[in-house]
Amino acid sequence: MSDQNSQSEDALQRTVLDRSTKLPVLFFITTAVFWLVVATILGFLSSVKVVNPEFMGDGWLYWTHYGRMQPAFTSSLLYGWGFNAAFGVMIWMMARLCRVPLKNPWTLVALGHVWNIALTAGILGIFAGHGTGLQWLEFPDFIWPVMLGAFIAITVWMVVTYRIRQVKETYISLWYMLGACFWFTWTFATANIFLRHVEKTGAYGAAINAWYTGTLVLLFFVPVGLASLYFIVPKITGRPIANYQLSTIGFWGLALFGGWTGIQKLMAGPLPVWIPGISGAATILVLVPILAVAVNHYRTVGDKHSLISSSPSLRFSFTAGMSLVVWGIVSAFMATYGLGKYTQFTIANEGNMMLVMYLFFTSAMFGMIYFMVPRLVGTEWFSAKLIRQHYWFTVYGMIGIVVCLVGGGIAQGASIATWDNTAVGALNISVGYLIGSAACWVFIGYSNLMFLLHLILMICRLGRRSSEPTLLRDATAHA
Amino acid sequence: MRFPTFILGLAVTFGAPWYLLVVKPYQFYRDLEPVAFDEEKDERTGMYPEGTSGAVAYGEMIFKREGCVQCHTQVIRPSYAGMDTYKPDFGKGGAENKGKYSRSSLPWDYSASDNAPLGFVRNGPDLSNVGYRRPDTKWHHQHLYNPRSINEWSTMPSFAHLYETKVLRGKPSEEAVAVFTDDNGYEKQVVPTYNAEALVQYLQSRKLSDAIPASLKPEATAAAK
Repeated sequence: MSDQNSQSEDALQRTVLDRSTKLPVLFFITTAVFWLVVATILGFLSSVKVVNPEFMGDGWLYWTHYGRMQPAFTSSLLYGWGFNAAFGVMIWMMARLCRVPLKNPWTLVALGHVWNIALTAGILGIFAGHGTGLQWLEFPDFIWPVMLGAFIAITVWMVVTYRIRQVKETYISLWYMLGACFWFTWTFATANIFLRHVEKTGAYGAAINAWYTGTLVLLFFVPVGLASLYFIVPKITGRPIANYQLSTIGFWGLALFGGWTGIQKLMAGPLPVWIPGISGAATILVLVPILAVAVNHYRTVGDKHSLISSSPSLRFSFTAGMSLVVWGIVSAFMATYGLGKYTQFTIANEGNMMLVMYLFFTSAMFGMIYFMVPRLVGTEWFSAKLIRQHYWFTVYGMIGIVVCLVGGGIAQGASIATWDNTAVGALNISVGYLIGSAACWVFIGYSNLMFLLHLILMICRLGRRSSEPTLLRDATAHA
Repeated sequence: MRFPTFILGLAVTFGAPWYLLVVKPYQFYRDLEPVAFDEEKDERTGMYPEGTSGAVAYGEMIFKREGCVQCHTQVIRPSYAGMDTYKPDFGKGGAENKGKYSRSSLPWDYSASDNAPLGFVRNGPDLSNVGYRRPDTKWHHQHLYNPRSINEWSTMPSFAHLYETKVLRGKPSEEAVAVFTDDNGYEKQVVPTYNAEALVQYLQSRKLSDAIPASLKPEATAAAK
């Protein structure tokens, strides 16, 4: 009897926690999905413009040319979708795992506004021709202190919540979230100060820029994604994480190697050879923590594999986990001189970035959103069919984009590596692949638009009123 | 694990690469001094690299702002990482230079720039030596104004917004990219703005594979060891 009592007490406490986080989390999630739709549109336009510059290129629309469209697309994807989704997921998980109800939700909403207004100004600045030409840091100079300020304020909230937590255990997800906040603050401040406000960086500016792209992925997006996987997998399967040791190895391995990555993108550039060398070695070694996490999750799921086909959250999380392993392997190959010299300076790098940002991070966030939103709004997802469509269009569309860009990049690189081949040759080879990726963006656009509609239905409390979650198929049928 | 220990662990594991990959190499690049040519060995005097002009620095800013770096790199990789050094359209160009070696990039090549746009994708040709390949100012203006008027296959966007239309009195300007008569019968010409002129000056200054002092050549470095 007492067991039942404590269970219902737990459920009551969870309801209290969810009610306290409802406002900021829904704000961040809705904003994130809105940015995702914007990024999808910009991504499609940019993938068309790279092959056909005259599309929307005449007269007054000159400011949409590829040189401005592409940075606007990556910025809205990384800082619009990526960070807003990460904020929403982190705030919710932090409250849940520390069992501390959120106070002053409006402060977080206000900080979210600061972040998003700065971001919007930054993207308009890029379109207005005030970009910086730095990869993933294209915003005009005055934007970054505002963004960093908002980020640090949210981080302070996280740390305070962690310090006053009401549970003894520290979950591995908490480590990943605190780590992500710590690392991003440091790497973002470093990159911006060195690249914008320090003189005479010379050729090394490009290396610091490459280091920033490596650390942003491995020490912000990967930890946030892994935190959500470590939450979803035990929750849905109802089992504890299989191996504590592997979790520790996974976390500290990432901390140890993640900070060294990125500069392999400039191998054979005007740098001391050991710098891209050590970066490449670290990129290969990152496979160790990635595989530790993958094995850990695989063993946690154990014989409950049928849940992957029935639970939307677990299905997206499973896709994310698989993609991270694939990304680790592709990155490791691209970090060696043998293959790296063919993929360096090609669209393969963009494909690899889409692999980790979309198939890994975005899938992990989708998994989390499918789990959180019903608990926050009190209704279940409206239609399993919509979720299925969202899943398949996302997966097939993005696999198409990644294959086109990575494959096209290798072909492009091989063409550049032929000594008597000119720019026309490399261009003709990559055009087909680029058209393929533009076609796949249509799939992604459809799936994200459907997802936005589904989310808005949920927020307007038009979901199903039921005590049963929306599953993709009957869980007992294949158990 | 206690919270301070946790933060210390993060600080140590991240601080090491931060110092060794960002701060320390940056100091090396900041302190790069120009190297003097040796009159006996190099048969010339002066410094390498020479300083740069304000218009070129301004042109580099336009280059970055317009996002040229999204498709053009400025790196010649040594032969262990590809054929960049022998590619005719990466080097000095022209039939007489075909198959000739142009040296790979060195840190000194970029020390005039606060933050050199090395680039990340080669959707277009490498621009390290475009100053050698295309010495003609008019060609650059024509190409920037309408890339497909020169190469039908080009996928480069038009940068017509860097040009302005002016009423034509007398002969057209030497740098005019187009001359036409508008609906009211006025003769007009399209001429580059200062931004376009600076951008072209920057492009023409891209001669990164030019001569270097003997002391910087690989043979000299190997002998010193």
